[in-house]
Amino acid sequence: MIKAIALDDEPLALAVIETYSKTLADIHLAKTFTSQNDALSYLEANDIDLIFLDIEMPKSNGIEFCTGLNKNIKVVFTTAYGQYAVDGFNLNATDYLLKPYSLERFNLSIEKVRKEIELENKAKVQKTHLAIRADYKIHNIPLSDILFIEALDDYIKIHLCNQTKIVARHTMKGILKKLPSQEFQRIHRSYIVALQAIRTLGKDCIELKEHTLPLSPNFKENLLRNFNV
Amino acid sequence: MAEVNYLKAKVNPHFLFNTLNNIYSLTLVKSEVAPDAVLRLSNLMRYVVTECENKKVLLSKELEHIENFVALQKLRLSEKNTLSFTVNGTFKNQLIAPIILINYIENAFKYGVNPETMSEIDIKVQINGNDLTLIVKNHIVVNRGTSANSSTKEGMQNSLKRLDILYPNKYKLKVDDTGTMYTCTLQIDLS
Repeated sequence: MIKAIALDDEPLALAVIETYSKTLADIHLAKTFTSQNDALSYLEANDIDLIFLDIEMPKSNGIEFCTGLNKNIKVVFTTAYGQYAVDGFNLNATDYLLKPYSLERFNLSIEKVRKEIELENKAKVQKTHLAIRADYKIHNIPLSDILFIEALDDYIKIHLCNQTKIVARHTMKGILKKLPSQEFQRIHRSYIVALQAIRTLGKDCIELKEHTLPLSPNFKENLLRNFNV
Repeated sequence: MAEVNYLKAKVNPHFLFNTLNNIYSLTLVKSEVAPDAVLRLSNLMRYVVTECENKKVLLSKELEHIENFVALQKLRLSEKNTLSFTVNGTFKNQLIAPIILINYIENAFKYGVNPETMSEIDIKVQINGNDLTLIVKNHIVVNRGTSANSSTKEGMQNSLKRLDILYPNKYKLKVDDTGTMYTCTLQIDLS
């Protein structure tokens, strides 16, 4: 079952999504919102697989809204006019629906969502190692060995628990995608940390067993979600 | 291409496709409002593609156009946003340059509608012989920083240019922007 919500400032646009969702057995449209604030508080309290998101909205547009979302949520943009298409795909939106759209076109979007979720589930089950190319070898690093990853211009330095460091040519964004998001998180422009390695969380720093890393306010809220105090 | 731009200046594609989507939604749930909305959109488009060729049109037709626009915009509103539209005075075959008023009304809907915030849009048209007064008053409930602000500025500049050409020294435009409330008063001597 795919649990979905929809956000659009126009109630009639939401009615279309409601009507279509009812025709599909594996889509559960949990709630629809005209208010971005209401949608945000719902998202904080509930696990959602998919959001239908209008682009032109009064408070902030759907693309800005989307950048604050948990990366695991699939996004299908809906819009009446095409100027934002490219931006939508840059944010890794699953699909992009031009209003008005048919039930058939809507079904295509859902099919894409299904496929993406399926692929991710497979990857999640198998993912125990990180394969990365460095100094003419492919390193197959057990995820549980990684303490944190540091950015060095065009390179990254992977710090392992046995004091070894592996330097590879990679971007932070790219490496983050290769890691399971429930185990690794960005805490700073230049740092990704393994959640299980964290010993204490301070106001603006994180302590591991033998390292202290800076914590940037931008990433703090997201990080705190993993710790139910 | 020039013609496409010309048309775009008069019918905002966002408005057109959102309205089509709203009408589509109404038909999907077999709403009784749908037929009226189709007729209003047809009349609105017909006005734009035919009447706008003319230098001057009947004031009554221009106001009918605005009425259609307002009725279609009404489909978008949630219970938080209220709207009033009144026309006072008598029509005596006065003429007006087409599509000269709609810009001010479009902006009221662009910045005055937000399902998260209570707001009011008040549009008044007063006709006194050849004197026309349009007063558009709306709360500002849309973040003006993120919205397509430059397109608004461009629209307003074009509209001022047209007023200068078509009604030199015969119009007065007053804008009062408090940050939360926007009031725009446009007076035109149509003679």
